[in-house]
Amino acid sequence: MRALTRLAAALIALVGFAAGAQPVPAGRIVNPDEITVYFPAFHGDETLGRNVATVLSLQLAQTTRRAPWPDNPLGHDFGPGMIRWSRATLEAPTHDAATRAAAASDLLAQVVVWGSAHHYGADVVADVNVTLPRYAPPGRCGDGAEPCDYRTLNFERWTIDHGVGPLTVEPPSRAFSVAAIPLAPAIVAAFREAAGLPIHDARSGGRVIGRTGESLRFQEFNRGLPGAPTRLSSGGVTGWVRLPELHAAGRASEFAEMVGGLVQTMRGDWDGAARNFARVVDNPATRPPLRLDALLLLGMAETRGGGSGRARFERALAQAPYDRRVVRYAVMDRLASGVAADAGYVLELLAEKRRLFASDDPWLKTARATARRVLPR
Amino acid sequence: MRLPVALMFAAFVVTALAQPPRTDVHLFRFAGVRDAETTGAFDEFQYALHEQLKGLAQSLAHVAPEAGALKLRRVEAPGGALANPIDWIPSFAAEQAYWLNEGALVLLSGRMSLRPGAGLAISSRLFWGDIGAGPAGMSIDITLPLAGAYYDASKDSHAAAILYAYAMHLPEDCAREPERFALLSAAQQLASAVVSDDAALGTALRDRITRTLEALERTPCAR
Repeated sequence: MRALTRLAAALIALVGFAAGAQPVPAGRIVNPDEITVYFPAFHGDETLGRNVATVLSLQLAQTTRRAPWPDNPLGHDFGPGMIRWSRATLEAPTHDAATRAAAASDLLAQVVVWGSAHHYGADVVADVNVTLPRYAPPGRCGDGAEPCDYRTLNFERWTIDHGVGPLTVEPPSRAFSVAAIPLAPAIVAAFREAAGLPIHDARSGGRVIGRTGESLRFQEFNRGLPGAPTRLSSGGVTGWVRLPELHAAGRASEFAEMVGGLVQTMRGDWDGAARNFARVVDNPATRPPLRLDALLLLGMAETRGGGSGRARFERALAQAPYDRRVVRYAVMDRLASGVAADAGYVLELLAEKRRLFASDDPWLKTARATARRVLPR
Repeated sequence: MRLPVALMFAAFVVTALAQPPRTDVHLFRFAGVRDAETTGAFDEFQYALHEQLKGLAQSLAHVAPEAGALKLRRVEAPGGALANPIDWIPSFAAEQAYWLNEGALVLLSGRMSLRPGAGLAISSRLFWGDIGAGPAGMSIDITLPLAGAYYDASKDSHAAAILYAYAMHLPEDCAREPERFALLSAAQQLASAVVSDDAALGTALRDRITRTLEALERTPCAR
């Protein structure tokens, strides 16, 4: 793909260390796989769309980490993360086109963030979409249309096995939108005018010494400070970029936390993922369909991180009692515990919700068999 | 010659099963679209709906593969302009006849209006035919400001109504029941999203879908 030859890349994380070849202590997470997030240029007004995409990528970069900091007693290494940009838009503004772009052999991105900036009435809105392409796992590689997955650990896929075969759930959605962002008029004016975001010579502001280009290398994040100044290098200039408020009403978008949570899930960083998803759930701007996905992912992160996500699954069941994805996640949580009483609950829940599933649904059959295996004989 | 009732029913079932699923939202001209400003605004509204339907179809592909064909279809008069509903569907009976004969999923018509001091608003009428809820249950009206703050509400309310219609017109087949539940559940979540933007509209839409889901759950389906 020609556009990809113009791709620029930047390492998200600054805190990193070699995993080494020593035995991994119990509870330590070492993810050998790189996670790539791809930002093609947004459709619509070219300069405006490119700058909006840059701000979103900076927001995202601030929500992820390679390892716990400052304390990391277990020596977790969640692996490298990459953000890649392209000056070219997708061939079409669709999830299918995003999947095709992600599958390019020199990209193989796990997340594609795409969208458009366009007029709606007197306003300009940024439509932000997220696609999680599907790759064929090593065992099924080469026998379908999906490209091969080079990753060895797919933390986003939740699998349990109590001896009757693997029971797995995939991410709740692989194609979704976050709430559209009505852009502040000042942002629209400034972003249309300039080819990139201003790079300042001081954290608190100061002189403009350059503008962001295609290549960004992040050096330091300060999410807690006003404007969340990021130290970075771009086009040979090193300095500080402050994140402007995009939303016309000053509302915080749930975008960065949702995608950051997904990236941390893919890296096995359960604490980091849970923190991000909790912010998505609590954000009043989050629309209910996405809040439901975030609840399921939050519950999974809590359970797989050693805590309990049960309250999240119960809330999700109350919000969407006819959604079989919710039933699946609630079942996984109960069966993961391996407790007989939970297995009894699972059988009752599956009986109650059986009409949400096809009668020959293989997942349903495995879930029932797993629950019966967990029950005392 | 009169056919036996059972034979007529069998013929109806065979015909219904053989028909392709209704997936097209037939778009008519909206009243009040007359100058450059309103034409531009209406184009933006069309774009938003088009994008929403496309995204929805792709995101639901795993639960309802045929929903991938959901799309907005312009009904054009000679010359290529959008057809005026006054000429095509001037009455409730005409809407019913058009819906039955043209294979549409939803007929979308409406008007754009300028509210003094508050900018443009768009009012849509979505007619989805007989779903067993009587004449009043064959359509829904949606009115929202045409402004950035209501962009999601506009997309979600129309999408919820269209998904609801699609789910209600799936063939009466127990094997399709999980698909119907999944589609209605997705519509329910979209309708819930509208509540925070327009409580009356969102609640009416959500409650209608919820009542349908509850009724569906109460109705046994022999496997």
